[in-house]
Amino acid sequence: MTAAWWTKIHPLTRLALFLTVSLRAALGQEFLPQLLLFVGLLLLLFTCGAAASHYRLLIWAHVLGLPGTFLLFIAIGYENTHVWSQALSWGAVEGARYALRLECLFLANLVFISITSTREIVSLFSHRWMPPTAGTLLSTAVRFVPLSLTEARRIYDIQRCRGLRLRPWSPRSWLPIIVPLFVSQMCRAHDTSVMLVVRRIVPGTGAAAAQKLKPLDWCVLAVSLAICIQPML
Amino acid sequence: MGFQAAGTEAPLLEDISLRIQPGERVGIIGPSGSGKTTLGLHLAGLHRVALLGHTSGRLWLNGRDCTQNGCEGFAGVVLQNPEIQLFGETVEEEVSLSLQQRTGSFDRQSELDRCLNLFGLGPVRDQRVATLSLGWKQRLSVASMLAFDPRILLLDEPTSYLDEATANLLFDVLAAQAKDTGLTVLLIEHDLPRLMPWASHLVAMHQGRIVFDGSPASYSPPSRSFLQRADAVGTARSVSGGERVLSIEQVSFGYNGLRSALDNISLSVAGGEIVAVVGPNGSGKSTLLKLVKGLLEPDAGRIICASPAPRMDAVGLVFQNPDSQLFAHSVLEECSFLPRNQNLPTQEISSRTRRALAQVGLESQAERVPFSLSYGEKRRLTLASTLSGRSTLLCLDEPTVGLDGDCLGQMAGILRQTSGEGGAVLLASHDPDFVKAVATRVVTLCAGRVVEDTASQGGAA
Repeated sequence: MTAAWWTKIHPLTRLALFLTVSLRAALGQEFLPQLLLFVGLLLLLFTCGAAASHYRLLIWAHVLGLPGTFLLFIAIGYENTHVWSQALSWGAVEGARYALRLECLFLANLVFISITSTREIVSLFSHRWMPPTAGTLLSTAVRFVPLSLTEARRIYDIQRCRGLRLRPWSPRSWLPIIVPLFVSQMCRAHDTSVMLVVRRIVPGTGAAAAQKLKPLDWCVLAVSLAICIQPML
Repeated sequence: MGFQAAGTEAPLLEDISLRIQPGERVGIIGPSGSGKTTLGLHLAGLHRVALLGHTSGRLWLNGRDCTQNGCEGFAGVVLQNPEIQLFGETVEEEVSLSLQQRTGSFDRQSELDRCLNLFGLGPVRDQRVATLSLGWKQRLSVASMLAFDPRILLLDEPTSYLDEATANLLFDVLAAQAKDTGLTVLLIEHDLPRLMPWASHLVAMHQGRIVFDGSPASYSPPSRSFLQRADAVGTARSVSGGERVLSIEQVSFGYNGLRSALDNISLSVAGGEIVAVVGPNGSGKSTLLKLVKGLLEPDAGRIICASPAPRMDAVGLVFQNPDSQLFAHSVLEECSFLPRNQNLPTQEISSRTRRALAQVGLESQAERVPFSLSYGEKRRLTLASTLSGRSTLLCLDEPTVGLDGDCLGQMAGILRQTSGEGGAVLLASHDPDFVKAVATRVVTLCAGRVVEDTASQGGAA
């Protein structure tokens, strides 16, 4: 069996790329580069053999997140102008810009999670430059989005069995999902951290930590750093 | 020793005195909320990591005073939910991960093979962990812990997601490990018939105190209280003969259109029946319930409900974990969520809610915050919140998981009452005793097919 292409890239390089893309997505203002980034990430997700559940999460996040984002911006537009036509046009443009930014961040996270296992992520955080607790926290945090969405989907199914009908304009209708999701994620985070301690999966150990950076990795890291610094200059 | 959780008045553990020798197989039993897990985490030296509160008295582990310092790395832990315990990409990588953390000299490859073969994981060693069923994941989490070679292994209700054969295999492997390697096994379990012959040392707990500590032979368990309680409800079981409420006709289903989870299933359920669906892990029990409820749509065949209401309303489905659904600020509001969503008149919502709460014995708790209820009470509340709707068929997915004898008795009683009033019940369960006690019919699934459909021979009636 041929090894997947991303296994040739050091996990640290993958993390650097993920952070760079996330930073660009978060700071980027122009529509076209953001759109290109979005398309690129979408293609990457398809080529990296992401689990079917990740695709479902993607669709789910769109169905839930996008209408809410647009409505929020339209509401802000109306708050400022008190004219519905202006609120709609401003809200649509700003909503699209903001939604695209969120999409890129979300996609970057999914791609990173699909090509990097928890063990590799944890291994990256060497104890020499990061306290173990912070390493564990970070590694749990980068997996938070997909895990939360899986859990949200499960809770939504349960509440659907109890007749839940979501109304995007009514925050109250979202409570049956948000409250159990919060409780469940708190419990899950607690149990996961206990298991990480029990399994002694601590930063700075394992195969990924022992893996050496190759020239290609150094090049990618340098480019990533340059991309990150460029907006500050 | 004692333990008081932060921000609470009542201690979770009180006056605990216990001595455990290496190689012992310790069974820890007791009702839900009696402090079994809290005690287990202390005995595994993980109280400082896993619990927030103050431990009083003295806790000695492996000759060290661990009362205030804990003793991480000394014990392995297997929790009820295998999803959160696995960190590798493939089955082999998961076990290898534990071997990497192991110290001392050993042949890595042969040890890897041994750990995989302990639970029959050899054939799936290259499979991705994410694609395994919950039962297989639990096997893997135990294998990973054993590969880690701990001095103590704490297992908190590890059989909840396992079928009977796999649960028996787990008990056999643990007994063999204790005998061969001197591993001390602490097993928190509700399944007394399985635990009693296995354990060499039994600890029974009640309200944070040890009420029995000794040999299982000298322990007299409470006689099948849940069967008695089921009878005490006094409503006769009606064995079929009622009107047909559900017909499943040649239904097939596969996840993502690939693996066939159910293959050409035909089944009918009549009013007054309690039909138990049993079978090994991955046989399609939960999938069947989701299809019946309408959460999934069959690839072939059809499911017909006699009720004129939409299937989402006509079928009530109760899931295992109550924390996945509780959200309201009072028990009453939580229970009235379903009838409100079914747009019933206010008077009817109120009467249905009160009646459902009375049915599960929670009418006096109506104003309490659901999160403050005990686990058993939460389970009863989730059942009540489904009973309060206008469903004609009640489906339950593993209704006995995490319930002690008393709670099981209440659950059995409620199901019998529902059946006695003409309602139909369809439940998926791994618990043969519970099935025997309440079911009027048992349908056995294997690899997505019905292999047996018989009237229940046992029962308390």
